[in-house]
Amino acid sequence: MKVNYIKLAWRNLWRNKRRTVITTASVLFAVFFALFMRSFQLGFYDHMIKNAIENFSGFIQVQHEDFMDDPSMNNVFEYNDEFIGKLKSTDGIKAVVPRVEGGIMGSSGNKTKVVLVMGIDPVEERKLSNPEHFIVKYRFSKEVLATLNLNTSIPTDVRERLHFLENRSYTSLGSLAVDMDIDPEKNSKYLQIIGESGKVVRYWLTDKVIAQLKEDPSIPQAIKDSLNFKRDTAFSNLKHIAEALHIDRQQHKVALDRIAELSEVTGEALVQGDDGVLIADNLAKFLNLDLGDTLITYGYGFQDYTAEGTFRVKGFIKLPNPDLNNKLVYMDIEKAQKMFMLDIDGKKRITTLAINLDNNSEKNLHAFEEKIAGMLNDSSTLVRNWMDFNPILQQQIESDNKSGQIFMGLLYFIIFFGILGTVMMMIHERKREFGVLIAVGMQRTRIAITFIYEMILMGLLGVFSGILVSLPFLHYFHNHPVRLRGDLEQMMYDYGFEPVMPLMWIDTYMLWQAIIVAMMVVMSCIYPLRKVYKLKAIDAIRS
Amino acid sequence: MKVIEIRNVEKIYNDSEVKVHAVNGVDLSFDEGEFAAIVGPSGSGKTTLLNMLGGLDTPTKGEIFIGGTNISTLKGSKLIDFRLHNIGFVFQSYNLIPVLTARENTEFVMQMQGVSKKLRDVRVEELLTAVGLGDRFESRPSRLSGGQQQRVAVARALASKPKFIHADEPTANLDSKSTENLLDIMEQLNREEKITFIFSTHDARVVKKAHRVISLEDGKILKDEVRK
Ligand SMILES: Nc1ncnc2c1ncn2[C@@H]1O[C@H](COP(=O)(O)OP(=O)(O)O)[C@@H](O)[C@H]1O
Ligand SMILES: [Mg+2]
Repeated sequence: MKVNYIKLAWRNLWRNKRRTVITTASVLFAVFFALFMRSFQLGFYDHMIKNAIENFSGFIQVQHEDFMDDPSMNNVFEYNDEFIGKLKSTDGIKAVVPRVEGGIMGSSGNKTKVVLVMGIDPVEERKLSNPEHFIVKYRFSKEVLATLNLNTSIPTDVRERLHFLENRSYTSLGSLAVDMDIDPEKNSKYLQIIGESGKVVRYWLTDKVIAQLKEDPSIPQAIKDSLNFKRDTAFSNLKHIAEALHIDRQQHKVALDRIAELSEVTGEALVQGDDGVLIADNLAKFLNLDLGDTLITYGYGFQDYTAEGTFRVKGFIKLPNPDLNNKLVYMDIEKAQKMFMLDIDGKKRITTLAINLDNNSEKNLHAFEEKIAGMLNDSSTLVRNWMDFNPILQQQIESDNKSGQIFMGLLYFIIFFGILGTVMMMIHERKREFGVLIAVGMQRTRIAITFIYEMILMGLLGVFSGILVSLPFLHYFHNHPVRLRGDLEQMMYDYGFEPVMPLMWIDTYMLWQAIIVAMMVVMSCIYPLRKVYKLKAIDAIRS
Repeated sequence: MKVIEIRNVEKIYNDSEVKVHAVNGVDLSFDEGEFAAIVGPSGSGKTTLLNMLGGLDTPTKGEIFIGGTNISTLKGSKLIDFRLHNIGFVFQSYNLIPVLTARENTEFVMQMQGVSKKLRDVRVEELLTAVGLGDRFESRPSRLSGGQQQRVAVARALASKPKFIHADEPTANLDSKSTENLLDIMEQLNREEKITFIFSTHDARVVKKAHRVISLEDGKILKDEVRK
């Protein structure tokens, strides 16, 4: 006989929807849970790697051979245009970024702290750590929040959540809404008000601003005169400006507004050759540095020359890694070279070439490591990958992945018995049916084949619908990561990460989870098939 | 011509503590076109005998020939194939595949036999009409009464053009009207189409309709009488 088993199987499934739905659902849930779990794990590693590697150190670095053990200005190498050009034009390399990284004392007023200077090319660096992205736009002190709390134009339920913002800094209103756990669309009006109060702003009377003001006919001559004495001073608010210029706020409102308008500075990105620096948010708080204030540096440079400099603060940056948030200072690479005396003989020296790849799989990483090593033309340099220069992260991920796999194993175990249970129930229900079929002359092999097709169809249906059902969830939690609070939040900060748990979006792991569940479906067929082969028609009919 | 020959058949169930001699030395034969009932009280061995006859069970001793084939020596898939081509079955209950319609249940065995679609369609129509279900082709078993289901089972049993039809207490779960109706249909098929029926029963009304009555007690033939 020529039998269309698929048709037969499909008919059996279609005609017994209850059974089909139950079995398919068991597979669907299996896929859903497996995907969700794994997506959480991988998303977390991805998040850690993105934070620390992809958006900061780069996956690969070219360094002086001794730099890793002794990151001083003596272990530097010469910037080589030709080599970098070659790297940049290599397929698969996404970014090649030169840097000068070094520790130095930073001080302001009576505070001093060791800071980590990162001299960067502001344009090139956009492709890697992109400090612009981290510029703080809003800061919320206790005082700011206390004032906001009295603002009755904000509904109470929103005000009740203001305390989440205490002493925090934000790069956007969106992330502020996330921390407050409020809908940014519905509350956009209040977010504007909150943002306005917490805005990072200063009024800086630079030479340029004063020159502009002096041309302005709306400013009285008396004020123009007193401006001369406040050259290059920065003020936190209009009241301070009024006091410093000895003017009455009410009487000279127009002039004051004009001064504010022209002198207002908010956090700004570095430009090439910039004199200013971007300073990590917590470091700025520690050193009491506001926008326009001066950071003084002092330490050792190339060949133990003295390194020193003064820099104006152009902006605060909030880095996901709290360690960096306590010590990082971004400055223009040429300024850093000058400060560290790396250009003493007219040569351009750097400490690091940070490199990112298009494909960050471990295999590709090692392949490029070798490839780049082969291209090196300075024998004092060598190639390192992130696992070399960030072994702690590597170990963290590895140990977490081990326990993660044990967890997955446990989950698979439960999933498997879930599927097996449903399949056994189904087979029990169909014992008599199979008995009659064997009695009237259907070969067991044919029953088995039909059954396998049924399972395959339900398995595929379950796997695909499982993926389909998971997608919206994965998508949502990928874009709106679960935010940890309380102890977990602190723990994440301590480990050096933003306390969020983003899910991994579509990737090969999906295929693997689907395959594993499919294998479990196949495995759960073994018992029923044995049953079919051992089934005695008379027993089945009698029961 | 003899369709079935049973020679000194015994069946001993050993699986419980006490040995049960369910069939104890039976010699029997059936001609083509018989309409025979095996009767006897519950536990007398009717089912056991019929199952051996139908190739569903194997005798402990003795031989059974169907159409000249010694089925006692057939095993596994050969036996299943033998049943497919030679025996039609009507069981007490739960005969039909629940997901299939009356038409599909009837057609199914022919499909397994490899009968062409065209022939199958013709025969299904013929058979279901013959059992009085010309209007219930597309009904699933759950939509049919017990009597209707048994009639579909008869149609299915006939579909494979078997040497005989094996029916173990086909009316046990039917009310008297359905019982009479089913028996009439079976008898009519026997008379007009020369189909051999061997059925068991302990229902006196059914016994009345049989042309030959074989009485069984404690696994032995007590009486074997031809009525018509
Ligand atoms: N599978 C079995 N195992 C043990 N004893 C059985 C089995 N099947 C039937 N018997 C016994 O065999 C005897 C005959 O049973 P059966 O053929 O079912 O009689 P009937 O169909 O006439 O009621 C009974 O005593 C019954 O208990
Ligand atoms: Mg019986």
